[in-house]
Amino acid sequence: MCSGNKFAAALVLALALAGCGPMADDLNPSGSDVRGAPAPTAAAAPLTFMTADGAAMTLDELLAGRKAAVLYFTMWCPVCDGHQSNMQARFLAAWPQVAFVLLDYVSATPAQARQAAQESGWLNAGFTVAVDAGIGMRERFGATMGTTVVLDAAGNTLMAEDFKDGERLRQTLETLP
Amino acid sequence: MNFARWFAAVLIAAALILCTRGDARAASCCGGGAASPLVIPKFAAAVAAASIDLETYDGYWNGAGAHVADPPGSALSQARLSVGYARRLGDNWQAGLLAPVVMNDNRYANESSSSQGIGDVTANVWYEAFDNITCVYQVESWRDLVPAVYLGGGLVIPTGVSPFDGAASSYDITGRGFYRLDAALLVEKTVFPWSVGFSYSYGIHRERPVNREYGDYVAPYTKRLGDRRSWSLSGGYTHYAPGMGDLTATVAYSDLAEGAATIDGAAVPSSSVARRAVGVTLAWTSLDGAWVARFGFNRAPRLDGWGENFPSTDIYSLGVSHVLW
Repeated sequence: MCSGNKFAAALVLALALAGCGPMADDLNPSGSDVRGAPAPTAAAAPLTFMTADGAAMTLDELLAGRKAAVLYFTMWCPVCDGHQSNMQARFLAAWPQVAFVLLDYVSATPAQARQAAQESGWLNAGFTVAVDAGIGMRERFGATMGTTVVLDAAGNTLMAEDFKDGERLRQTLETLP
Repeated sequence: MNFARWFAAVLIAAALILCTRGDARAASCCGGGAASPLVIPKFAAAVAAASIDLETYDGYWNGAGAHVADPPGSALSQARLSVGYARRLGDNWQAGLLAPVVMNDNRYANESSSSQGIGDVTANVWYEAFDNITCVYQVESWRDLVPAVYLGGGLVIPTGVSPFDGAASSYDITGRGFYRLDAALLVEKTVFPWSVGFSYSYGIHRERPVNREYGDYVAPYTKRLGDRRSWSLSGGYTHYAPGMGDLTATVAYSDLAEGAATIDGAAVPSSSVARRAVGVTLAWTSLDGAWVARFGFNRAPRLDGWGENFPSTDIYSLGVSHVLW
């Protein structure tokens, strides 16, 4: 059997090499603010998405008479469920002039999105449920599970990041006129 | 997975193979090895283990503990290939390391994704609070009832891909991104052919700064996952097969809970999790005790109240351990 030192050396080397990979930020995390220039906030190209009722809706139609729209990218998972509960409890009633959209990017059809929302208790819960299939909003915003996008009345992107505890969303909504 | 990760995985595997060469002598009966493949039996020098776990997802529990189905057309699974090695440091001390390679396979109606990467590595140290083998064939005095008690510590090292480093999508995650320090207790008692076991662990995550989410830099904040507590209770029966070794069947109940995470010191709503499950394990031990093969099945029942903010899964495990003297 080889010595413990040899094994330990191999282990240290392996971990050091592993540390060269993308997990380096986890092994030695940084709190430095290294954000680049803010993303352009010019009005986005026309956005059209499909509601869970199967109706096509443009962003302009969604924003009509509202101050902003919040798009939450959901895959109907436990983390999403927690975020959605947080939004429902803290934001929906407090910002009645904001459209809150659960944007399902894993279902292929409006019917599937509707079924997923219904089975998980999020249909008729105060959100607009929409499906991203074939529309590419996820790619457009670089979104993944929990990404929360805030668009103002002009369609400018005010926020596009993970929901976390909802504080960034609250701060963003409080800047609305 | 990039080259550095693959090379690291190969290096770890090579180290394990190199370090498991040598003569294997007959193992003693017990006092380790039953509850975990990486606990060295009393008086043995080392143990090497490898296992494949396949975890299939089927719905989840929401924050109220109600079970919810997955979206239509979805099939989600994660496979983990783990290699581990533990060696004796002293008469009553042992230490081990477990390194997984994680393979995610997510299929939804609208998209599919497969990804691989090293998971979070775990290092453990155990102190054996007993000096002799505690397994007995019959109880003749109170001393025969003394169990094998292990006191342990563990460190989870965030070598996997988390949302806070290079992962571009939730599909790519293979680790949690946080160091965790565990304290653990393991109690085993065997009066042949019956055995019982109890394990408990309590883990504290280290707070860390975060300045990146899914590859995009964000305004820095600090985050800490909640304390993690788990325990399990098991009972087993060993069947002797003359000339063929032993076959042990074990039934276990496990309970896992993690408190709410915090961001900048404030609790994150709906972030505490819980999962309860039952499992069965069949283990074959070779006649000389040097080899153990295991098959396990662990199921979280799809019933309300068996979890909270957590996916409900089945876990199929196939593993082999080699004890060295």
